[in-house]
Amino acid sequence: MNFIAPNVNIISVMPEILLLLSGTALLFFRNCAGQGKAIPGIASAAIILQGLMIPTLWGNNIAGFNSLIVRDNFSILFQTMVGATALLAVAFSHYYLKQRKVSEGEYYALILYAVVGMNVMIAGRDLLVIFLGMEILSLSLYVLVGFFRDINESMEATVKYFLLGAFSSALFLLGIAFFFGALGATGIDNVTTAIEQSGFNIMLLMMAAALLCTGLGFKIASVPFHMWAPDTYEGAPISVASLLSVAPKIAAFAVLLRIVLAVSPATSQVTSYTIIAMAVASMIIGNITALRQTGLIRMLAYSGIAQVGFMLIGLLSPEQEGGPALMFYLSMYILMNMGAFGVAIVFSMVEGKRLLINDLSGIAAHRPFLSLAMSIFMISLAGIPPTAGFFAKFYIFKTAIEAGYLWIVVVAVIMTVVSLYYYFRVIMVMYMSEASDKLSTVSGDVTVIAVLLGVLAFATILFGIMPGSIIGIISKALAFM
Amino acid sequence: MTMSGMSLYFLPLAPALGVLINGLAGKHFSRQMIAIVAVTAVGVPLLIAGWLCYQMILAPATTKAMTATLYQWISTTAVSINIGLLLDPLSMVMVLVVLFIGFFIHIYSVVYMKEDPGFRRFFVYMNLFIFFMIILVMADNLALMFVGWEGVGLCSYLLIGFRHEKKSAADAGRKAFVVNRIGDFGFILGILLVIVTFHTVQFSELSKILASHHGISNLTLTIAALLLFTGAMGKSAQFPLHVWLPDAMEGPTPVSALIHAATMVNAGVYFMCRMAPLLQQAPYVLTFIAVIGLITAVYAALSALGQDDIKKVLAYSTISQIGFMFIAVGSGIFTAGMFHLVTHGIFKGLLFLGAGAVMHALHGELNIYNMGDLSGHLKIVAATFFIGLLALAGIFPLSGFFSKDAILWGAFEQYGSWYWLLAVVGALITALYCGKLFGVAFLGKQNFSGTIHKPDAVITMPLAVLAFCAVGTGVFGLPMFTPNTLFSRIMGSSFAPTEAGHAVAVAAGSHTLEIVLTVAVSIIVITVFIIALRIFSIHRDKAALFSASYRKTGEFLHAGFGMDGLYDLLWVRPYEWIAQICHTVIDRIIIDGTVNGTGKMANATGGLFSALHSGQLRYYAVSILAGVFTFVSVTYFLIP
Repeated sequence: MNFIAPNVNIISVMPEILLLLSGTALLFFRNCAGQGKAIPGIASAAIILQGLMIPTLWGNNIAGFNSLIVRDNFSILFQTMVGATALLAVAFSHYYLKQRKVSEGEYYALILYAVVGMNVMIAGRDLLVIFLGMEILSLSLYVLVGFFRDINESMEATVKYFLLGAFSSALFLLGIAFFFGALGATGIDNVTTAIEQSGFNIMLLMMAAALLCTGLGFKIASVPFHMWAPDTYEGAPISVASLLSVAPKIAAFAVLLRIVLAVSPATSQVTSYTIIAMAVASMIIGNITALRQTGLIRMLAYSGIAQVGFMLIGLLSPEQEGGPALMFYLSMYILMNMGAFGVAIVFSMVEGKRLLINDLSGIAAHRPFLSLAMSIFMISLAGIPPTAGFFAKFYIFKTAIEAGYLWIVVVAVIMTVVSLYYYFRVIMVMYMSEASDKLSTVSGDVTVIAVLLGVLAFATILFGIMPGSIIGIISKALAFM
Repeated sequence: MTMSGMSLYFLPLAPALGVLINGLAGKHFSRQMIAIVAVTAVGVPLLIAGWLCYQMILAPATTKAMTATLYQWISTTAVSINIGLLLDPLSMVMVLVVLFIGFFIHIYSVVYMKEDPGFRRFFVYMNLFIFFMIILVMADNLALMFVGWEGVGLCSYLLIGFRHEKKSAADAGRKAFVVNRIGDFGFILGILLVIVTFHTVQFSELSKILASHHGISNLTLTIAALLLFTGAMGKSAQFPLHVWLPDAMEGPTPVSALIHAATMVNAGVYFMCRMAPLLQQAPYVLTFIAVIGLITAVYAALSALGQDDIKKVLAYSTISQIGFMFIAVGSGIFTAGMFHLVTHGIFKGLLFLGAGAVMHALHGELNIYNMGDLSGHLKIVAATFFIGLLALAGIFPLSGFFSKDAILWGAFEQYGSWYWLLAVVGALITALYCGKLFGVAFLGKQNFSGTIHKPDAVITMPLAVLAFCAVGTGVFGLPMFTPNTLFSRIMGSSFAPTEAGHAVAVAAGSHTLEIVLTVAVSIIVITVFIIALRIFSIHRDKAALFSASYRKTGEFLHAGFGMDGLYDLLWVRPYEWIAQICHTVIDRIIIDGTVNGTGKMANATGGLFSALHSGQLRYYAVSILAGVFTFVSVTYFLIP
């Protein structure tokens, strides 16, 4: 066997190589002899380094492995977003693990591997490569969710996540098979050439699109593939849940955007029915179920499902403004959702068991800054100006109206109103309830996580006032597509 | 930009700095430091204004107006609005009045408010007021003027309700705010109409357009002038929007002196003078203003007669005197109106500060019937108060005489003898209540017991200075019986193109009639004043007998003709009734019902969805399968 692709361009995968090497190095660190202290530092350094590398490739469209991987500006932007999320997750994990008095090299290595998987998903131009990246990501996450064997819920969560994940991976693979059946190839770009020569089976292609959406729908936790999310988020260590609730969604949306962009000229409107169904169902079920949740993380899980519903609307007009609007939404979602999870991590440190919303009652008196930050994130998630979440929703709704999906926007706006209830309940409990002593022992030290949360809250407000800069960068990135 | 252009900015900047320094850092200052900052923030711009005034008098007639534009505030196709300042003789006079009286009232307040826990808050508000007043006066366009206009309204509201823990004070503040809103509503509509009609709000451009053959219909001009006058009516407490001013006396006395006597309430007069080019082309509005002014002057003077609270007497008197200013405006003699504004500002400021000194001495006593024979105890206060009252009554040779005489003569020329006669009646009642006030409070038998708090020098010094000015400013009214007085020379060309015709008419008419009338009115006024003094000091029992036999009339006057009751019946009760209906029917049943119902429904659905989420893995898998099956089959059937 002498199957080596003729033009392996090693530069195209340099960031991933860096991550893999540092991740593997971390495996040799154990929490003994003071080595543990260096672990999060090394992990963050690796992520920052690859984050610095990626933008240097900006505008070059570097391709590798016979164009199986292409680092265009689109993927660079998505990978930067993933990197930022992972960096936040490492910082949160550092805080979380320090409180549990453990520091394991494997834990951070798995986060780095997950980033590799997501990077491959984003940059991959072939469905099989994408599938490879997806599996690297999934396997890392399965282990991370069940990382602490002493927590029973964690075990349950990881089993559920693993079984359902395997199931949906199989469906995704089936979709690839249909895709190959339709075109005789697995490259996404092949659709475009096939359309020009009109030499493909339209029915198989549409089946493929529906199945691929299913597999990715699982990754973004959209209804009806969302059932795992609340159980898994709640069972997993919160630092993992924060990563889980944002990063895979970014990568999966990148793939979805690519597939929809490629397929929609061939399948006319048909793919959009699947997306509309997923979007509307996610918005309704996510928002309404969130109303009744008592656990904070579970509420955030349903809120995440609802947010995905809003984002999916952007996929309805990807070639117009929908793409940039979706990317803007995702980048603002990093700020507010990671922020909310960050606050939850700080608050959850006292009790081992799950954190209820009512546990926060009166916390504003003890921890005014954390409560203020949490309020900003909640207001932003609810989409109220002057926060980033408002403009995120605003752009998405605007593109949908321009594309003629008025009724979906009406549903979305109604559901936004519904969401006010559960987002504001958190604020209300924090500020207006009698103080309970449950969380009064939460430490008030200025830690890395407190500074990060401050920065996130500030950015949430800042981009709510001047969203133009981000939109400018995104439009520039998509101009090359 | 020239040196003087830069110094224009400094006039509003200094009080603004005072607000910032005391507002942000004042918590750490001693009271002395706060007082120094606040007084300096008014004193320094006063010096600059004096220097600017000196330069302006020296400057040739064509370059008297100084302007400075900071930046463009709003720029649209319809109109562009600058943040710009204008200092011409008209605004110069106002700036001097505001800063001069303001300066002395600030000094006075340092001692007056010494014990007050809200010392810092008080001076922050006062400096803020001065800032907004300067903006109002120096604005070179309607929109910026409106900013200042609302700003002084805000400060007035804050300072009336300064002792907000007292319900009557908080209510009075709110009343002032609400009544002013009515006037401001007209003001805003007026500005909008001006924008639509003229496409500019700049005063200089407005007068340029109005001087040309603009071809704008008379009706539009009339409506615009009327709307703008509504704003002036609210701010200057003209009938029927005057009801807030007597209640505004709930504020600390220096506030009454500064805001509700000397400066803010006169803003309406200044505003009308600023809009003189527009008013002159709307003769009906001028007549309307004259009628409103006359009604207010007589009505408020009568009401003042019925008051027994020393500050309420002065409050109604202020309303009445502003009525005289509007008589001047309505008669087209804007210079006389402005002159009366200046003299009134000084002597009414003096009177209020004197009243404050009396209150201070008598531990907060306000009722004049509980005073008596104060002149024996508080010599300086009594002397200065007497000077103030003489000026208010318009007795030769005090400043009030000159300004009031000019107004009465102008009214005679413009509207004839009947109108003049009514105005003279107003002036006579003024003399009557002035005499009564001094007779009851300062002469006759002592009606109070206990110790008297002697005022110290910081209290009496401003009184003395203002009393000196109340005597001295009459000089600017010389030479008499000509429109070419010293004051109008200072005002220069402010109203020149419009008053030229007037001057010619006066020159043609005979002076004899004017002199005869003036002398006659003066003699009657002095007689009335002296009689009132005697009755209410020496023959008090007779006066008491008289008022007992006309008790109803007395009560009617005391209640200001029952205007508050009337408004309560006409507006407040129906409004409360409508609000009640909105509250019970519309809000509770319709809106709350819908909202709560929807909320309950959503919550119930949420419970249903949560129940579906059983935690059993097989159902999760079923959900995924069902989704895939639906999507694939729908796709299959939809394939073209």
